[in-house]
Amino acid sequence: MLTNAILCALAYFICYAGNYFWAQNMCDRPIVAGLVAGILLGDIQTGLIMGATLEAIFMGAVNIGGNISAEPCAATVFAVYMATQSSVDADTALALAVPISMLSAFLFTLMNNVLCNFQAPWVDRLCEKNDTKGLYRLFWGTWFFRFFVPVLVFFVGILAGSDAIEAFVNGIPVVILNGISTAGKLLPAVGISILMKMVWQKELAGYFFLGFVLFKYLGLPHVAIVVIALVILVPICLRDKQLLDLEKRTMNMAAASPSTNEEEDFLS
Amino acid sequence: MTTANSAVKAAMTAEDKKMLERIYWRSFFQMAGRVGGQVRMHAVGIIFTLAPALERYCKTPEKHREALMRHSTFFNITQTVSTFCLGLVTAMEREASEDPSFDVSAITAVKTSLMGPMSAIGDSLFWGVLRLLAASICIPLAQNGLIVAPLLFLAIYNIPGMVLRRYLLFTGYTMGTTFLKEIAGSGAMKILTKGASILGLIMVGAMIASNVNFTTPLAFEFTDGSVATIQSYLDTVFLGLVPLLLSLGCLWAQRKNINTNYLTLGVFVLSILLALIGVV
Repeated sequence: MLTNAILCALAYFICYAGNYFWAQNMCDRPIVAGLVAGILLGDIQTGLIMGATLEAIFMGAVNIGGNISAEPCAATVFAVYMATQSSVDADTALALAVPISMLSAFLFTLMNNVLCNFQAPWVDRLCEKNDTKGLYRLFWGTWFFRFFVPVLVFFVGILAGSDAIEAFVNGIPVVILNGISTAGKLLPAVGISILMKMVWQKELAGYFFLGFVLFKYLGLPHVAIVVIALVILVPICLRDKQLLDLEKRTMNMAAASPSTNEEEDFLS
Repeated sequence: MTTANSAVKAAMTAEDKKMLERIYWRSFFQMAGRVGGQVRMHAVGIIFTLAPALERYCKTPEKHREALMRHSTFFNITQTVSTFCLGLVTAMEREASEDPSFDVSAITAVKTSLMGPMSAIGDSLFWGVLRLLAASICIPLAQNGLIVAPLLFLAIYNIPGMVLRRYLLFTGYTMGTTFLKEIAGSGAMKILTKGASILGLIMVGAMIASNVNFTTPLAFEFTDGSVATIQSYLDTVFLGLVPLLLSLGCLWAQRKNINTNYLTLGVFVLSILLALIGVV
């Protein structure tokens, strides 16, 4: 039991952490996670077949689970584990895997939306001290912890069993879930406002509202908004360029012929 | 334009190529540690990726420090296409190091402007099309028990990505250096900065609209049984009113030099409070 739990947790870490480690290479998708879990648990065929079936289920942005949606990688690893323990079919295995994958999803949301946000002051401090080595330590440390904590809970969850997890997940107060998900949706405002401050100019402020309205009211995708923005700004820049050239020409003319001005004044 | 292109391409020194190679390989790790969660996203990953360029172009520790602070801002873009933006940024950092009058806010403006649209394109191409293609080929193979199926899945998904990433990096850098050389020559740098600011502002508005969301399920039930939701009233005043007010509030707070970390804490506490009183 303990060995299996460790192997499952290892499979989960390799797949999920490995995905974000290098290029988001999709090794956390069920089709690959199934193979990894199969190799570690000693039953490659079951892993392959379970992985393929779950990949088909999770192909779209499917919302399996309750008020938290199931995390596909955790679901796959647990389903493969279940299938190696007792021969269950894919649907049963998935149903058994849902509570633990909901718990994993909740933990990742907790890490990303809550805990990691408070690292922002550390980033600022390290940048101010020009400490790249420190930034890299923080970077890789965060990588490890971001995945280690949910994997640890996954490990505990396997030992505790499906029923205990289900009870726990259902027991998480809806208030906390709503609060965390709202925070996740509102917090980008703080981050993006730093960008706003950097590009903000009072005379150009109206363009911010243009971008906002184009997205919210017209529902235009970002690519279309860029095109509109270019259509607006290219004539402005070309006109500015013309003014700049005109200024240069006027200055050149004034510099080239100061004496003629005197004559004109005398004559008029 | 072609002669200018080939002139710059020919002028891409071995040192340039080496720097871009290093950036290419580093770009694969950019999303490993999401330091700063929702507030900074992959900023530190980008600093890691751009390190070769920053080392090369920031001649003094002071300039390097400024560059770090410049790049510690919110940044999130589909990895595979990120290298186009990074190539442009590298070209701009180079210009900044050679031309003291270069306004570095243009670098932030370009990053801000490209994040949204390139992610949209990248996500649909890779997460959408290529992933589904790879899955539809490999699922039947895996169901037949072929070990090679998941590996084929990884290959189909990743190899085009690796090639595109490289192409976009070198193209972005070449385009950036060519364009900047032309601009610098005509003395139109200020116009470029203004254009970048306009683009940046429009895209920042679009990003707030797309990334910051708020809905409330609160509703009034009237005696005749009809229901009026608070959300519909908010939407009538202005779609996305709450996100808009929140971001303008954050901007105002930052101009008053209130620490953004207090803002993060504030938003978090506010969210929990709103959940407790049932507004969200």
